[in-house]
Amino acid sequence: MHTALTFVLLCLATSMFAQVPSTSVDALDAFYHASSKAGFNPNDHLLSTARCQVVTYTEDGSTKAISFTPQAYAVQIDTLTKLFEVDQQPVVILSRYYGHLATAYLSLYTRLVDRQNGDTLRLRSIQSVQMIEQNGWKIASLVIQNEVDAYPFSEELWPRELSADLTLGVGSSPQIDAAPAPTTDEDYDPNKVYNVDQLQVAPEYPGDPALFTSLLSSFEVTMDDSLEGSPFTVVIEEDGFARIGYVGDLSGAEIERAESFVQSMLIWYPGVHDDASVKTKLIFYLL
Amino acid sequence: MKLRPFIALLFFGLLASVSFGQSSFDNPSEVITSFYRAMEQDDLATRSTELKALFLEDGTIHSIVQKSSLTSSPKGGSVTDFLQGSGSFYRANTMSYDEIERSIDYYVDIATVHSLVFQTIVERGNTSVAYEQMLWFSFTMVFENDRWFLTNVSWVNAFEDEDIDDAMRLDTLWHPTKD
Repeated sequence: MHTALTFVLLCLATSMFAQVPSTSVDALDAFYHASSKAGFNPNDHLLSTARCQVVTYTEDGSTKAISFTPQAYAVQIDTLTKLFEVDQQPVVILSRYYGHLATAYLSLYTRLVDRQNGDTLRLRSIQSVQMIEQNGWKIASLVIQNEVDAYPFSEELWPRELSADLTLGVGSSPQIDAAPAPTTDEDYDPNKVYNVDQLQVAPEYPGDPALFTSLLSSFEVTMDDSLEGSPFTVVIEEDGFARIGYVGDLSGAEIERAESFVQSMLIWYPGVHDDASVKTKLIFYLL
Repeated sequence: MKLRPFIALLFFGLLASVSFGQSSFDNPSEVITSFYRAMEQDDLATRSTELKALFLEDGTIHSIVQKSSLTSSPKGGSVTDFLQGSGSFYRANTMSYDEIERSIDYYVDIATVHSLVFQTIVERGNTSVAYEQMLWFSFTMVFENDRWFLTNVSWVNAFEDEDIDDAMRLDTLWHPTKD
């Protein structure tokens, strides 16, 4: 009887401790998990004096930080989780701590699935968190900056090893919904340059598609083969850098224009084959 | 005639700029330097003006007085709360800050700054009594209206059990993530 009672008390104690994250990183994980679900209780994760600031942009491009109290932030989470299935996952956490103060500067992957039509939006953000231990680790400050198209994340915060499987953008884009390429038993060849139709995930230019369209038009380049332009190829390397490939019958001036076009590109999200980043060949046409 | 409002605005802008020590706060480091200068101000009105100029309207300050690895007294609130709560301490003491080390992480319009400082507190009634300690400050900022604003500042003092230099040591944690 005594042994059974001890066992029950021990189980109860264990389950109580299991609910209190022991480190600031555990607490951060618990926060992102809880704030992805309905019924988020801010008092479990945020100090009463905490503020959550979200960087937003007005139509003229100027910055406006919107501030939320813990209760107001919980209302935002509640609204979001009613409209979407939410999944938030830290990717890289740059953490510092001393005593009862801890900070985290992290990249976060967020997936929102529309509950009505199933459309999926995948996006990433940088978040800066300060945490204080006061009856468990709690957030004193949270600042959120969603990705800005013109400024891709650094390799430090979005390493290929962790993010190769993470697609971005709206779910209806062909890059995300493309069916996986049939797997073959061929040996991996690091020098092989793949065509897009051989890939699981096609290379994707970062940011707003309008940015890529603008780049094409400013160099009078197209990917439309029906316009009878002069073809040349661009290879997107495994690390996302672009280099010019075959230049065919282009004149010296046209080669210069093609090279300038490639040098003006941001770093791509590389193509993926067999769950690994690979070199991919893209065909462009000078008009 | 149409130029008058513009000229008036220009003068107002110039005066405002001069009154805040000609700081434009267009880089995070300038905000940090100004923060420590504001914290050294003896006069409450000056301290209040200078500190509030650095923060967004809803900015917060959290401080932790840590006696050992287990015991601490965290306090937090608005900038006004901090000014009111620290008033009696400032009346009894003067403070100075000497920054030792600083590191900055930033992405587009947010920045996080970590700073180690040496704080000296001298009693006003007896200037031969001085206290010295190291502190770790962590600042978060956002860029709005062409300048950086503080959104929150937190700090903790050094205590015997642990070397405060550890605060500046970065742990990079890779998280297993899936779509």
